[in-house]
Amino acid sequence: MPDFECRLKKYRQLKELTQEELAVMVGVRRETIMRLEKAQYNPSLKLAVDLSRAVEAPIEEIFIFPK
Amino acid sequence: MNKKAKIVGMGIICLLMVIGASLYAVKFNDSRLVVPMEQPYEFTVKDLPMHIAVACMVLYVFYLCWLGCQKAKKDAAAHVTRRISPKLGIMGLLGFLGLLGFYTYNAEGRVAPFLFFMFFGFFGFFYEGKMSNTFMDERYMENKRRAQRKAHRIAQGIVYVTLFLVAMAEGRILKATDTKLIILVIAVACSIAVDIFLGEYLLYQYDHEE
Repeated sequence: MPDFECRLKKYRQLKELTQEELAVMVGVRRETIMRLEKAQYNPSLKLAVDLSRAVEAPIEEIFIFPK
Repeated sequence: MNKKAKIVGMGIICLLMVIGASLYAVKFNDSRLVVPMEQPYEFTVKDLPMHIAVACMVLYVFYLCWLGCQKAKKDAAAHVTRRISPKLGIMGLLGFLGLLGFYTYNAEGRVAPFLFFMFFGFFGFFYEGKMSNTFMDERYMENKRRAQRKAHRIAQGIVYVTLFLVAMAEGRILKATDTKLIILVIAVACSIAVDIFLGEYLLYQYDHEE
């Protein structure tokens, strides 16, 4: 299990997007967005960048890795 | 009439043509091309219905294969897994045909039927069917690679352990070369089945694990 905190849900809800809509925007399944929000999946760099652009938030604000 | 109904209809027509041509051959043509013939084949006009019916059936089968290829190309382009029914998993029961090998070995010394044990891998269709029509995003591909790596390692492990045990085996029965061959053939067939089944089972588990 990846060891990081994911704030994707917060930024997704700020943009008033459903998991399905966000999944379509970045080209993944809804289940992948669900796992990401639960920090159960470590996305690729490309997916992380796409998510950052989709929710208009910096990557380092969405995915928090402990120092 | 939709496309599926047309395809099924064509199949039924081809089947009826073959049945009709067979009945014609039995009734009016001395059962030529229906029962095995002893003389070399010589064409007669009365053989035409059977030739036409079989040709139509062969063309229909080629058409089905072509449709399948087109569908697979379309799915691959859309990055979607193929659509199959989980019920196909019942084909895994064909693996029990491997037990025929004990009969054929005793009767004729043949070990080839033991290879049917690899059909146990078809139980994997059950899990592949459950993952049918799934979009193959990066998480799916990662889970697939992880599942296949683990399945390959376990299948290889079965072969290595069997090789080791067979090579070291002692005793009147196990020392015989034939017995060792049979054990190795069964082990390789079962490892192939395990590889195929586990690949699909683990992919399903990884995709649905909490």
